[in-house]
Amino acid sequence: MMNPLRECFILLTASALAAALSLGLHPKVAGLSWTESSAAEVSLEDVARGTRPVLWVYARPAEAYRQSHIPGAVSLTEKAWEQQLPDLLVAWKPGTVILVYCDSPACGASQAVAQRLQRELTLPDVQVLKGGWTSWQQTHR
Amino acid sequence: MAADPPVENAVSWLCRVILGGAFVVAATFKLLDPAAFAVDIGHYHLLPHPATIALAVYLPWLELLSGAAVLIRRVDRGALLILTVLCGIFCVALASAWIRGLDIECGCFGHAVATPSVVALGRSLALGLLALWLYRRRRDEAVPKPASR
Repeated sequence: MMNPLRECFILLTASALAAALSLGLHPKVAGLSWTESSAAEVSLEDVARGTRPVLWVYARPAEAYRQSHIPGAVSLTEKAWEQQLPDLLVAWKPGTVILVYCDSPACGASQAVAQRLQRELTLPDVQVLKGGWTSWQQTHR
Repeated sequence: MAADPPVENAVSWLCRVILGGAFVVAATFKLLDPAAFAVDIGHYHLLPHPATIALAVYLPWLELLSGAAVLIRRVDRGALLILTVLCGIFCVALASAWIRGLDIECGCFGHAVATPSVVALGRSLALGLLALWLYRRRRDEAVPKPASR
């Protein structure tokens, strides 16, 4: 019977070969960007200084959206993407900056939604609010 | 008291199907959308971006081949070792995200199944223990038994 470490080596090598092949053959893998493409983060001060209209997008579940959100914000989450995206497209006008936010500086949902908007809709101006809902509440007490 | 061999074999077979099946299914979802998987890995903030992309391309294949090897019982001791180590790494990554208060999708089954981090951590731990138990059992099977008189 073969040594377990030798079996590990076979599986690790076979996976590397399959991954290398998929780099050339898998259409979605070939389209991956090896350079960082995260959405730009802006603070509330930056937003206040801006002159262009803003469409706020709350990237937390619908329950959190119902409890409270920035006035005029639309709800968009990865889980309910297909259902909620039409509302965003109705609210969006050319020239509008889309500002995505979630709860706190540590949450990743806003960056995930912003990147997906950039990737799938190729919208030009999608940004993420630094500090999220927490920073908005601190500023608008 | 030791379980009857047929019962033990049936339990072992069931565990193989659960473990191997879980990894084959998880890998399939990730292979269908590697970009979304790369985004999920990036949310852990543990790796530089190029390493994130490399992992998003490589890991699904390793999971698929290891899961399949467990199911068909070929090079399965190596596969069980790999799955044990992978589950250990997943547990560390999930625990670190949980401790840092990151509100992220685990990415374990692509975006097909949304799972809270604590549940994903428990699941990874359970699958890791299952892989370790199957590995030890398989290793013991490989040791020649003394001839009876």
